[in-house]
Amino acid sequence: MSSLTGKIAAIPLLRSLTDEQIHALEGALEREAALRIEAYSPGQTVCVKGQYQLELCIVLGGTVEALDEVEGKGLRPVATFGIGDFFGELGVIDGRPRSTDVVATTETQILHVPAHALKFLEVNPAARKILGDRYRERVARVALNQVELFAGVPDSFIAELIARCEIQRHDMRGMTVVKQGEIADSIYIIRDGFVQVVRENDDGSHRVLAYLRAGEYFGEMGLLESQFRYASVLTAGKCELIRIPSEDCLELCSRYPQVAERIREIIARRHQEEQRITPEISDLLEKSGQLGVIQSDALLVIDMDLCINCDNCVSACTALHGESRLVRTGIQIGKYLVPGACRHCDDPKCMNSCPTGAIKRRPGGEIYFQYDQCIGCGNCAIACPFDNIAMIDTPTFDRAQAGKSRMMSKEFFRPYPVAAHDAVDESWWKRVLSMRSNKRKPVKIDQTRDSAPYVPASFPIKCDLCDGLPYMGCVHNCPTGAAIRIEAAELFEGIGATRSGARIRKASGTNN
Amino acid sequence: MSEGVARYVIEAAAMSRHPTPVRSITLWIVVCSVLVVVAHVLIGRTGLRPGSYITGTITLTGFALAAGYSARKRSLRGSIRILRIAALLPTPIARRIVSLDRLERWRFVHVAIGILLLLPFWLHVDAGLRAGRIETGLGALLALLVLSGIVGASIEEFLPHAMQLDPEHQVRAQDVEDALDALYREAEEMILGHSERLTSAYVERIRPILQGTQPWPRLMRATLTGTDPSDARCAQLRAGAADLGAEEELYGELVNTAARKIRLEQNRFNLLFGMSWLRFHITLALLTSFVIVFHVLGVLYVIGL
Repeated sequence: MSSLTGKIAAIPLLRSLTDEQIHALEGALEREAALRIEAYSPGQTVCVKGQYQLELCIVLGGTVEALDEVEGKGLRPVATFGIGDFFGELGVIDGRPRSTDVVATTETQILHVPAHALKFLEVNPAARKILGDRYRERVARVALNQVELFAGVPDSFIAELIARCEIQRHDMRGMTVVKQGEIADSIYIIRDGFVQVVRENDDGSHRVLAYLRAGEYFGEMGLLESQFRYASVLTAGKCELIRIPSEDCLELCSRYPQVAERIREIIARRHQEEQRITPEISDLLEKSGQLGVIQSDALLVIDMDLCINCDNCVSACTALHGESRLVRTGIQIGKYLVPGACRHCDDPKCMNSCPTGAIKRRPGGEIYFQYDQCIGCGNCAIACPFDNIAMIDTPTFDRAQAGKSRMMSKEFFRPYPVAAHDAVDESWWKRVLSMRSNKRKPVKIDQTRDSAPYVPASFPIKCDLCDGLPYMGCVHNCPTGAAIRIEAAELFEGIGATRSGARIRKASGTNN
Repeated sequence: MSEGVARYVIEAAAMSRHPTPVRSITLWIVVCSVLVVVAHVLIGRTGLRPGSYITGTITLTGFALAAGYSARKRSLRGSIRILRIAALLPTPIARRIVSLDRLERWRFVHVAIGILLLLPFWLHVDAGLRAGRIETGLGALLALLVLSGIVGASIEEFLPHAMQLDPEHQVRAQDVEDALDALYREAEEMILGHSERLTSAYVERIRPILQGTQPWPRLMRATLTGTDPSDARCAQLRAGAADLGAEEELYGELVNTAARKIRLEQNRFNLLFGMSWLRFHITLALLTSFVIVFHVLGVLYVIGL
């Protein structure tokens, strides 16, 4: 009998579960390591801001505090969660990193429900509704507080807006959010993902004007300038939008003139920027959007004017990892080649498709495999729209060696600590004197032993930005500096195609 | 233009992370060459000429150091070792070492050493010792080696842009081969089931292009002048389309296929051209080292060691 029984009555999220559903949850609790109950002592950290710990945390006993930086006051409690409360719904539903630190204030017990185990709760309509309502409220609150537009607007009005706004989620590219010429009845705030702004010309042709990203908004032109939509807006991939009805926006503008002023400034700037979008830039943007380049957090770009085709980037990758995780061919945008290497997408399909949660994300946005959780199903390789994940046979794979590059990890090389599972217990002199490179060596599997752990037939490999090394092999070993990692949005910002806005996450992989 | 601005963004990112002393490798060569000439003139005026043993030793050391780039390029074992040691040092030093280990910097140092070692070599020759056949050959080889390096660096700097004007440009040799195969299949499938006249025109005029290869001087000229090598050839082919009547359009498509084949050949030539000088350079380096060994052994024999 798990420690869950007897506590369910005090937990609104679990209270409505049927006996059968509770039984299934308890069974999973015994079977699945990631679905667990953990005890925390006072002062112990439950989660850290910025980490991609995609788990719903339900407080079974005790209390915890969410701590965040308050301007001028340092780290301060911003919320308290007691028995029955839960947090982490943003991460578990939408794959977002932790927004605050959470620390236990008393002896606390927390049920951790990872994303892939959420089905045990969502199967119950009442639990799903509680989760959904909380998610909607939190999403809207976080987004409205982040957007510069609402700076100076009192919390009471924002609370009213939150109650009336609508969350729209789109999972596919090319979905029309607003259509040019339609009556403008709302403005949209982008909570997550990208949208493409397209203006149709009188002759039937169209121009891609811009990509907007999280923290930006659209629909304001139709609202303040005319009653009709100035351009169409399409999704550029998975995205989440907050729709605020026009009457609320107009009330906001009338009550707080500074907001109206800000919107007018933005409209003027957007008209100015539109003049810069030549048909050539528009084509480039459209192509980039179609190819999914815009969503890359760490895009490997090769400047073909500098590239001398020496293939050293591929050789370095092979030397460091045993198999190359980079294919020096791919799409070409102008003179820039985007070769086949993991782009650490903003919306990683691989991560969402993993049934065991073995694909994880670091605070910088880098996506990596946690091999001890991988079952070798290959879902990630199938899900990757860019074919940047390869499956390799187990006999050529050594889990221990795969982690060797992490031996190089030092806190000064990366801004966050190395996870416990990454640490390698080896003395420094062995590390220095070791003549091993980071190549994997064939693993010997003793199939005769009954107690031998389950070893999948194959494992996925992909670029992990040379996790643990102080540089990226391909970039570091390019003799002409042609290879460079860049955030795609940063690149497009240079041509006025995306506008600087509140960036939630930024790839921190160094190009050194 | 968009590309220009994008280039600025990429370059700004690159420069802020990996500054090299001089952006252009050719300019770097010129700077080093000027230094060599100036230093030689100054040494000549002061009259403080080092002896032939010293200059010879310095030249030999420079040669060995320059060869280090080739080793670094081919193996990361040394680099990984250094970086592991760097990981144990304080942050600023570690960052500096990582930055210094970048292959781009190695290349700059390689070029600098390659040019600067001309100074001790020049002084070594100036020493006026009697030169035999080996020494004459060694001098010629060393000069050729440096020249091939300069030409190669210039090719690397100035030609990639001209080499990639074709929008269908492939970046790997195997991709070119695949594209050539696909193109041939496409053309053969296009002609199936068509008239005798079109088929004969295809077999006589277009298939030889698809099956054959263009002479390399033509491809080289096209690369250097930035022109399309298929233009002249395809103009001739198109002139012969008048008598094909209704099938003229298909013939035009076949001619376009032939034009793509020629452009792919130029693509293949460019890939080879861009790298083959390096093979020549490496061969010369190996040959030079071989002759140096004989030269040094000869000197040691003469002085009685």
